Amino acid sequence: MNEQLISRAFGLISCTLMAFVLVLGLGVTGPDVIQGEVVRMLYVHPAVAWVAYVAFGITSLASVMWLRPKSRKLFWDQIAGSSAEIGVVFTLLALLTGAIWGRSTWGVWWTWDARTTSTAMLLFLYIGVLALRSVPADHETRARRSAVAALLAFANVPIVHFSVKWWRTLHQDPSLLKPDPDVHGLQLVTILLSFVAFTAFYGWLLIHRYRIARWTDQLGDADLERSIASRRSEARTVPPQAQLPVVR
Amino acid sequence: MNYVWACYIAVFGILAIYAVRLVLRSRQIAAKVLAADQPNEPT
Repeated sequence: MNEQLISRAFGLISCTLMAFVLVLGLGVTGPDVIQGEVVRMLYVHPAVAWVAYVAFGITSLASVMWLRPKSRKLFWDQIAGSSAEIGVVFTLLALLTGAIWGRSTWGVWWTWDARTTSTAMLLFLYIGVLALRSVPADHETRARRSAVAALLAFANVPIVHFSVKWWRTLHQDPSLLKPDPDVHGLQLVTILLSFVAFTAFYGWLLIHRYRIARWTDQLGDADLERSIASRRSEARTVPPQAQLPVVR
Repeated sequence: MNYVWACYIAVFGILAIYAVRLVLRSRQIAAKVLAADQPNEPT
């Protein structure tokens, strides 16, 4: 099947799922007994944070694939870079929605809580990975540098996830990942749907970001080859006498 | 409810802007790649 057709179908499905989350989250589900209307953030904030984990997980997986000599391909480096960028966007959204939720429940936009602080660290670590990728270098050097940096940055993901268990924090414990979840019925359905919708949307963004990375590399290579060919042809056309100054 | 609206506008707004930017950029670069693949016209 055509690559463009797959991407369009994926885009359509993920955007429809996102629309469902929007309608269910803002319209169909009701307010909570304890949290009131604020509970509607539950259909957005955890899913956004989950996608950030997924994106950085894919970045690490692709980095390992690039570092393994048997599976070393430019494709893996392009996937790692693309996924890291999308992960940064989702981490930023997780911090932003967390700040809004914090303001309405804790009364402050920001607190130096273990979860929020480790998430901010995660954001800056992956911004560093992206900065490293933009340093001019050949494909192999760029891929090696960023694969190692991405794997080091990923060490912070379990710290972010388990921070609510390891330290006493304001942030609540996981609501879903336990034998008897705190949410039921339509709330649970909406939360699970939000996880599926945001993950599908991430997949669609990754397809587009990967295409940009692949074509940018392709154009860069073509430009480099053209300039080398042009310099060589210039060198051939200059007569040998003109290349060396004549000393009398 | 204002905080809920702010949260939804932030998430869906930023994601929509980012997605549109990616789609437009990928189309723009695809056009450049196609143009680069075309053989040069003889002068």
